[in-house]
Order: sequence, then structure tokens, then C-alpha cells
Amino acid sequence: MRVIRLVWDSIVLCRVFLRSMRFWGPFTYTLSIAFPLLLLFFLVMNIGPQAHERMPFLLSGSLLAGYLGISVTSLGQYLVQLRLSGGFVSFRSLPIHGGSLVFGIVLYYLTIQLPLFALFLIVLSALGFRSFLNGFFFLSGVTCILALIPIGAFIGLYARRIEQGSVLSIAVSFLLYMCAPVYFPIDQLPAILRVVARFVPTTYLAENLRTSMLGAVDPKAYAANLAIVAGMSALLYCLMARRLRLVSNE
Amino acid sequence: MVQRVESGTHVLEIHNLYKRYKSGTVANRSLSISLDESEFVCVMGPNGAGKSTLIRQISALLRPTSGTIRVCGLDARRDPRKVKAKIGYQPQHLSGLSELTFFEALYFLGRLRRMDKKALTARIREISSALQTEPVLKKRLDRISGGYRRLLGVSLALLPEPPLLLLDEPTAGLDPVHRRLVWRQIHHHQERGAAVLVASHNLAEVQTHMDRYAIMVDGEWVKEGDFQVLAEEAEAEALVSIRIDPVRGQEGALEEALTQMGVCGQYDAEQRCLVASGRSSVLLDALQRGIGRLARMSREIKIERGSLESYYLEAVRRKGAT
Repeated sequence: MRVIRLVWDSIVLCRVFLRSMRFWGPFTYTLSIAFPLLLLFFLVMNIGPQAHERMPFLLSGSLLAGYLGISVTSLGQYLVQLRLSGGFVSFRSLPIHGGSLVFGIVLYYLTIQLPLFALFLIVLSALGFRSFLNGFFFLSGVTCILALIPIGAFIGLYARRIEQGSVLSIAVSFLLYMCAPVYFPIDQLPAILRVVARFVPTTYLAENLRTSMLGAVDPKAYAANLAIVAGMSALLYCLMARRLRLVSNE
Repeated sequence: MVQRVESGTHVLEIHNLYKRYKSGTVANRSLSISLDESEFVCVMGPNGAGKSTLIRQISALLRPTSGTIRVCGLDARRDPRKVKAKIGYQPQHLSGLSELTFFEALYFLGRLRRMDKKALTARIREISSALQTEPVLKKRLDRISGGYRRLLGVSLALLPEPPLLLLDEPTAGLDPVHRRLVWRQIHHHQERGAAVLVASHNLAEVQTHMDRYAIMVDGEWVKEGDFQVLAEEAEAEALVSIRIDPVRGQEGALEEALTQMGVCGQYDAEQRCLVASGRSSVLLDALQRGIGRLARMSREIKIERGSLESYYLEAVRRKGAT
């Protein structure tokens, strides 16, 4: 019964959030779809003849950049605005399930990233890739979204001002992107970044996304990466749930 | 139809409620009150007295430090979700959700209360008609006036026909027509069995509706009871205020004359009239003794009979003095 209530409340909340996309929708998609595709095009043009060899890195990196744009930058900005304008009070005063705000937000952000994922499937097919048609690639896509959502949510739920949330969500997204081997193999990063990269979830997400896209998954390495990311995310999900409690303990 | 409460159970029962924020601020202390079906209680008090904190605790949005809150027999601390289902809550400020239309906000929040689609749509139409909000039903919340946003909050509280209505300044910022409509709806709901707790500053407005009152200052009741008794006390204490419009050039002399008569007066905000208030037995006696002198320095002297507001101000002033 509790699970049914949780699912029901999360779906209704997801619908409320989806209706709120009149402004955030175009903003989100401009940021997360146009930007990685333009970046991909720019990198291919600049790398020249070697681009073909690096294509798995460029494609998986661009897909991850898109996920980062939506799950961290857009979510961080959306939640800080919603929270500081008092939007959560309307939900908290209702008899909803305690976890439904967290699940509603997760469901919302999973839903709005479907077009990005579908677009990359088309791009991969157009470029002649067939190896991505495997369960690991789809699992990697979902893992990326689920692992990045609590990062954006953490910023949105803990920032003290709207401006602070906006700046932080862009800055953190940029750091997650630049401090990890998203576009290049880890051995091409500077020594200091190689150390930093070990503490950044996008390192593990990018590796799983890339190997699954190429259909060259080592199940043990894949599971190890998944476990590390799950550990990092679990902590952030706890902080997210704490901030979204229906009864405040202030 | 308003949900009924089991016989012998209060709709709202608060016992020894105490709230201290983590910052150290004590917002409520030793508050106890109970409400039965069809009762209307008004919580009055200056800004920052702790009224909104009390309402947030009753609506299970905020955990009390100690004490108990029971709504229809349910403990707000143990069953916050069930308690919320029994309450129609109108927050002081309703913002966020600005991308939704007025109708969508009511519809989705009604769905989160598990209201049936058809019944919900019909109920939204009914409330919109009663509160005359039909012109904005399809308008986005960021494109409607503050008054209509306030009406959205009231509509949300009335939507599920709960046994307990919690309203925080329900008519603030509304035009007279909508104010009257809101009170009519609240009254209608009360007649059908709902208990109503309102926090308000607008005493002139609520006094025609309330059965009981509670005046809160610094987080505690300074006075509470039946409104009828309060009205009789206000009558018996006979508070009056006098307004004196001085002849030009006589402002200082008039103030001095009043002081000599033992009356403390102050010029109003526009510095035009000298105003003094107090018990009629003291004030009118002093006025009688010095009326001839005052009349020479004044263009007009007005004596106003004490209202509930002056009684409330007196209670707050007395608490401030202790």
C-alpha cells in the first residue's frame, strides 16, 4: 500500500514538474542538447583525421555533457528557484508519501532526458555504430542520470540564494566535465588531474558509458565502477531526502 | 461534504505546546487550546508573535519541541500524513509553481490529495464560482495579481472540505468584494461542521465571525476565551480614544496642557492631530476638568468609543510593559 502511494504521488509530482517546463524546457534542451552536439561538431572539426579514432570518446563525452547539463546545471537552477520561492510548501502541506518528492524529481529528470538519449541513438546509428545495442549501454545511460541527479539536487536544495545556486550548478557541472577523462583517456590528463579524477563520479560513468557503447564491457570492471558511483550517490541521495523531508525539524 | 469527527473527539487539541528553533528563538510556549466542530477561533497577535509557527506545527509542517497536537484524535508528530489529510491549509504566502495555471495548480494539488478526477474538476468549478476566480482559471500564476494568488491559497484550503481549516491572513490584500466572498465561504464551511482557525490582524473583519479568540504575544497566550466575553469586557473596560485638532500655532501648548491634565498624547503620523487613548473613567474625567482650556486651543475634539482593536492593543501593550 505504501509503495503504491509512493508511486502514485511520485507520478503526479512528476506531472506537475513536467507542466512547469514552459520556461525550463527550452532552456534545458538548448543547454543540454544543442551544446553537446555543437561541441561534438567543433571537436571533430578541430581534431581532423584523428577524429575517427577518438569518436567513441567524443560521442560518449558529448552524451555525458548533455546529461550533466540537464541533471546538474538545469536541476540545480530549477530546484533552488522552486525552493526559495516557497514552491515546496504547497507539496509539503499535502498528505503525500514521505519519499515522493525525491522520487518525483528523479522521475521527472529521467523523463526529460529521454529526447537527449534518443537523439544520441540516432547519431550513433547514423555514424555506423551498431555495438551500442546492448543492455549495458542502456543501463549506463540510466546510471549516469541517476548518479548526476543528486549532485544537481544537492546544489539546488542547499544553496542559500538563487544566484548562488545558478553559479554553483554551472561551476560544478564544468568541474565534473573537465576533471574527469570524459573526452580523453585518463593517461592523457595532467598528473594532478589523474589523482582528482579518481574522486569524480563522471570518471566511472564515462568509462562505463564508453565501454558499453563499444560493446566491450568487462563485467568486473563495469560492476566495480557501478559500485563506486552507487556509493557516492547514496550519500547525496540521503542529503537530498533530508532536505526534502515533509516535516521540518528546524 | 465536510468529513465528520468521532463523537467525544476534539477536531483540534493542543496541549502545552513549546517550540524552540535551532537558532535558539522560542516561538511558542505553553500553548493549549481545543476546537470542536463548527467552532471558529481567531489567533491574534503582533507580527513575529508566533502565529505562523503555531499554524505550521498544527499542519504538521514543523515538528514541535515538546507538547502534543491532535487533529481529529490523530497525533501530528506520529501520523503527520494522516493529520495533513484532515487539514485544509492556506499558507501566508503561496508562491512557486508559477508556470502552472490557476486551474492546474488546484487540479494537481487536489490529485495529490487523491481526489477523484471528475469530483475534483466539479469542486474546482464550484469554488471558482463561489470566489469569482473564473476569469483567471486559465491564467498562469506568474501572470495573475497577488490578490488572486491569495485566493488560490484559500481555494486550496477549501478544496478537500476538511474537518479543520487553517488560514493565515486569508483576506490580506483582497478587494472588499473578494473579502466578503472569502468570509462567506469560510462561514459556509463552518456551518457544515468544519472547525476554523484563523490568524489575522484584521479584527474589525474577523469579529463578526469568531466564536473564540486567543491573543498571542511573544509566543504565549496573553488572553483567550469566548469572543462574547471579550466583547463584554471591552465594553466594561470602556476604552476610549480622543483626537484633538489643534489651532495653528497652539500644537506645543496643547500637548503641554494635556500632560498637565495627566493625559499622555501623541501626534499622529501626519503630525496633524493629537491622539490619546485609555480607560474612559480616567480619560473622560480629565477631559471634563480641562475641556474649557483645551477648547480654546483646538479646532475640533473627537471622542471615539473603544473598539475591539483598542482592547487588543491594550492587551498587547500590557504584556509589553511587564
